[in-house]
Amino acid sequence: MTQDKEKLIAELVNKGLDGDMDSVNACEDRIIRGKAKAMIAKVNKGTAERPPVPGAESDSKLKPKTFESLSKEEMIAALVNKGLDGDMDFVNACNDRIIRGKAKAMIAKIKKGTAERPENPLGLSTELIDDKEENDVVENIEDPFEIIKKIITREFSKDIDEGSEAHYIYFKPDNWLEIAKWLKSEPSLLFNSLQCQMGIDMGEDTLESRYNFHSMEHNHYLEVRIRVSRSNPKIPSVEQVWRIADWFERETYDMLGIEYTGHRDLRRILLPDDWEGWPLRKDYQEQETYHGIVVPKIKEGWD
Amino acid sequence: MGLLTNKFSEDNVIVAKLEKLLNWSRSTSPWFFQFGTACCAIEMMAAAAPRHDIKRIGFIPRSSPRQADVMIVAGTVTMKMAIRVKKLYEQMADPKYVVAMGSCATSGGPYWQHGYHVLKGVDIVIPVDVYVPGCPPRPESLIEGLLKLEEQILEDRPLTRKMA
Repeated sequence: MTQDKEKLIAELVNKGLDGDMDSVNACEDRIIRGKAKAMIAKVNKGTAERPPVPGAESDSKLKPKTFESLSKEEMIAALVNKGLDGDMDFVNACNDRIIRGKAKAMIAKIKKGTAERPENPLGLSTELIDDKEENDVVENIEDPFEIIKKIITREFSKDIDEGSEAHYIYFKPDNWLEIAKWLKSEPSLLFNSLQCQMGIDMGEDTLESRYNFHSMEHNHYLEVRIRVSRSNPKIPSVEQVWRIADWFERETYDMLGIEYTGHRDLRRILLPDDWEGWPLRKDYQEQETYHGIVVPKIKEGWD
Repeated sequence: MGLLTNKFSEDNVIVAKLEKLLNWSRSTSPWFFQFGTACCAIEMMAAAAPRHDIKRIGFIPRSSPRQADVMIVAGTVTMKMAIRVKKLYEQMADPKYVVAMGSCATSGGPYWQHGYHVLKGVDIVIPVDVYVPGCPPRPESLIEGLLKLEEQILEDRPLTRKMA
């Protein structure tokens, strides 16, 4: 028993000296924790020597390791290394949310320069080196939107319309449904939440439909814009991809007359069904009467 | 009844004009139709709640137009709603009264110039007896309007043939 305790203390002291005081504090045995802390203080003062890491020799014999066999810290280190080598898919594929988050945070820190790259507990595998060239495009881009844009461009370059800028992408309307399905299912994007959809009359015969996406999985955002002409305002409906789009698209249809083809229930949502015209278009003219009720602009005798 | 309690020693008779008696009973229990079209309805609810308690003056909310004497149009009336308001008014039994509550119901309110979808005053579709200004009017204002309506009811001549 005493030997085990000493081992544990030595381990904790080593962890603490390496900066991982959390795992020292997480130790439930009060006596062991106290002894370890006292020793750390002594080592820092220089009155004691750092104990050897217990089990270090036996650990090194276990090579080659698999990812699953690693401890949490080592897993994070492995993920960080993979991510920095450009294999973000591998990081995203990790099932443990906490480990994934910590690894991503660390990657960001390293890119910023506030942290150093940890040693890869898996060693440099040949597989990684092979992947490296292919993923070079994605490597070393800090803005997550740039990464998203790169991924989309790789897949649908011919559908991207001109005018795409810092934080949004213009698509051509023709292939929109297919792109939408892909945006939702692509593992590196997973835009599973359509947060807002709206329409704008840009003037000069242009109507725009805008979509704001968020990924619960990766916590990243994307704005998609689609231009159509006032004379032929047709956009494929994404109502069957994101169910929330049902009412969003009905409202845009109600106000701007953008026709969402493939929508299963495209009726006006606010105005009565027999209303004439599209009120939020810049060239809208009020109708004279509605069911015999005059729609006066200004009451007689008022001003 | 409080006025007459314990005032008589024998059977008794009160002499009154039938019309006045009817008007007195009608004016002290004008049940109103419980519906609101916009934010004014919140103030109407506040007026009906215990602090202001318009049941004191006989106004009791009814959920069916068939049982209501008064329609309080509380809030913005859109074109879409105008048709419904008219239909509900037609479903009420005579004699019936309308109180236009708030700026929107009296004139279109903030929408009177640019609101393409708002009816510029509910008096375009149904006759209004009392207008209550305010955006929204406080419960006190509404009560004032309702008391005005009671005065109007008292002066009604429901049994007298109207002259052409």
